[in-house]
Amino acid sequence: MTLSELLVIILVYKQTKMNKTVTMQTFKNGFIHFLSRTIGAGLLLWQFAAPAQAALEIEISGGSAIQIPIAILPMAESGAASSGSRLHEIISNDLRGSGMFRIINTSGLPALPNSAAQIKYTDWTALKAQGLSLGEVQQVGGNLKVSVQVMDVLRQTALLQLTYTVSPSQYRHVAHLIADQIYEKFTGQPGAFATRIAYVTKVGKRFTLQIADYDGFNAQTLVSSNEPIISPAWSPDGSKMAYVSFEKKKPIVFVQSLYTGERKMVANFKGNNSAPAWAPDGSKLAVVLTYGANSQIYTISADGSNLQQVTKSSAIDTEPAFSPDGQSIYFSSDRGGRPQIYKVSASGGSPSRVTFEGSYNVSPRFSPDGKYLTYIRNDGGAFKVAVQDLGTGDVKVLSTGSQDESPSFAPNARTIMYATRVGGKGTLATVTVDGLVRQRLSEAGGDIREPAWGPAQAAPK
Amino acid sequence: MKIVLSPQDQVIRKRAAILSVLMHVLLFLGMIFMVDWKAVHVSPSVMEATLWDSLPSKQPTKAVAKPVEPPPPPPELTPKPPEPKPPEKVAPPEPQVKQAEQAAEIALKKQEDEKKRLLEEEKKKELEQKKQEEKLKKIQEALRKQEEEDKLKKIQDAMRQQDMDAQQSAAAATVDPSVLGYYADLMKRKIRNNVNSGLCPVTNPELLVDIQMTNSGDISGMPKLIKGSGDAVCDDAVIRAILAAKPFDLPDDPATRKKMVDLIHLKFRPRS
Repeated sequence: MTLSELLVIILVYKQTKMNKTVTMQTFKNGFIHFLSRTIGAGLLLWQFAAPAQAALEIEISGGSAIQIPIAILPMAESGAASSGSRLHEIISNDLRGSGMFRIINTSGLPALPNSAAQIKYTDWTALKAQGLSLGEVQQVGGNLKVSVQVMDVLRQTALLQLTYTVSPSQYRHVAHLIADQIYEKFTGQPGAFATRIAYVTKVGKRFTLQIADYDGFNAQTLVSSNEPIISPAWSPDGSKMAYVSFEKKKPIVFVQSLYTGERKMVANFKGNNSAPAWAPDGSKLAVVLTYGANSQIYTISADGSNLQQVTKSSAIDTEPAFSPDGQSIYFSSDRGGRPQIYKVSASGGSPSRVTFEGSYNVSPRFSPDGKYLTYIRNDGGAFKVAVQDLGTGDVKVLSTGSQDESPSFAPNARTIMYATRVGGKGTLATVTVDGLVRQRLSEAGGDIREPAWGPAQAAPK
Repeated sequence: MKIVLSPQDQVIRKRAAILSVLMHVLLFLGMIFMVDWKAVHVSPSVMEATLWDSLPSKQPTKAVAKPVEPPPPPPELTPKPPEPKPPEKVAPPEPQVKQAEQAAEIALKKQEDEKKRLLEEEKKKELEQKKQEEKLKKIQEALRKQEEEDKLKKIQDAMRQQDMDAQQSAAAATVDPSVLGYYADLMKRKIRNNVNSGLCPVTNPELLVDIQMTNSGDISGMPKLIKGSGDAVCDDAVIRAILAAKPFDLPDDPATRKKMVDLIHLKFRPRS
């Protein structure tokens, strides 16, 4: 007799004990009762005893992608507008140059959509596109009306809907603004395409301080001289420019309004006056004077008053730069025997050394977010752009030239512009802070040097 | 060989035989009267009674004085015998003999009629009760049958479910880990190639994303962010990497394929 049979008998006995007599009906009832209880208990046991059907888990560490694939389609043109293709080229160049985007070549494609409704997403996913920009340019009176839609190809949703009405001469600026919006949408950081740069050119014996779009287009002369012009510095609000001119046969610090052209000498002391750097609030400048003996750091109000000495040493202290919080001034000094970067309180005090790697580190400049410090390093006899992560202390050499100088951060802290020499001639170049994307900005005639990247601009209405 | 018994032995033998018979008889009788056969207790269900409408005013001289029986109690399920009442005292009969005899006859007839009527009523009640009991039995029987059917259905369902689960369990048991690992690795590489780790914080946060695939290797619906990095751009970069990586290759083996098509937990460390 098996155990189950015994259980059945016991159960049936218990079930029928109360009924005095065993009938077929009571036996059946008892058996069903036994069976249901047994199966119920069995199911419960199985539920716990059976191995859990755990979901598959996959761990993914790191990532290989550095660029976001995006298609920028030529814009449809209506009316007399004829800047659609140029707009798409400018946007493409901006995004490509940032190093964050890979522009998908659409030139060979048979039919391109003119509106979101015409998009066949399967075609674009096959091309691995994650984003798609399309739009149109209309001539409205004397202005251009630019409408752009940016689509998320993977989710098949609209990401951006932009409309600008500008004068025809502003089409490049509008293209930069659109590129800024796309950049921010995908990276979470503001773009820096609709910004301006300042730099000095030397053509023959003529020095010119110029202001241009970040990509070198739309250059305008701010000041020109047969004597050297150096060290341009943007005021934090982008309305003024400080620079050093030798027009008086000695270096003097000027501040010039970009809107009115009015300029003022703010540091014309005995000896040399050089290397102006704006405080973050725009109220004062740090300058280098040889007022006493050696080059020392001073601060002076933007109107030329209230001169205060910051460093006092027998060494050469030069190239000051305010920290983003305005509390410290970083500068180059040979007080340790070799040129290195030091920092000192903006109100003066005892400096402390910042750079320790390498025998030559000069020209410090902060990123606007205060996370990085860029400077020029002598790297095996070549002067290159380096960047130091102020959080970790890690230093990375970014440029590949041998005579690179004057590094300057973009307002979004993503790219550094610097002057380099190619074929015996000075030119401008950019490099991303991760060092992955480098590009040369302009091959325009003459020597180009002393670049300074301006602050972000407000968008036109 | 013949054994010859002595006369004394023969007497003893006869006595033993008689005793033996007696003992068997006694034992038999003992068995009959000692075993407790199934006792059947028959409770009285009917009460007999004689009803009088009224007592006769005069009784014949020769008539024997009888005690009047009390009226029968109303029928009960467990009737109790009525307690005897002391006989009423009857007044001495008057000399009008004829009248008394007639009255007695009428009274007796009435008594007999009443008895008959009561018996009929009782029978009717019994029939009614039997009908009710049968009806109740039928209802109970129907209910019991329904209950049994329900129980059986539950058992059958449970057994069917158990079979299905057992089949699934068996299928799961046949998942080839090496095949599963191969395809999981393919998926991992494909997604990893699309992760833009530069968009994630240097603190290397952990992200958890759940996906469910279709049989064609596509993603069913949108990936579900279970645990974010705290940085919306990083979260979006990871989700985009998953979407950009689809469709995924799936194994041909049904059990392993099923494992891949089921829920998959993806754990990311973009900055590692």
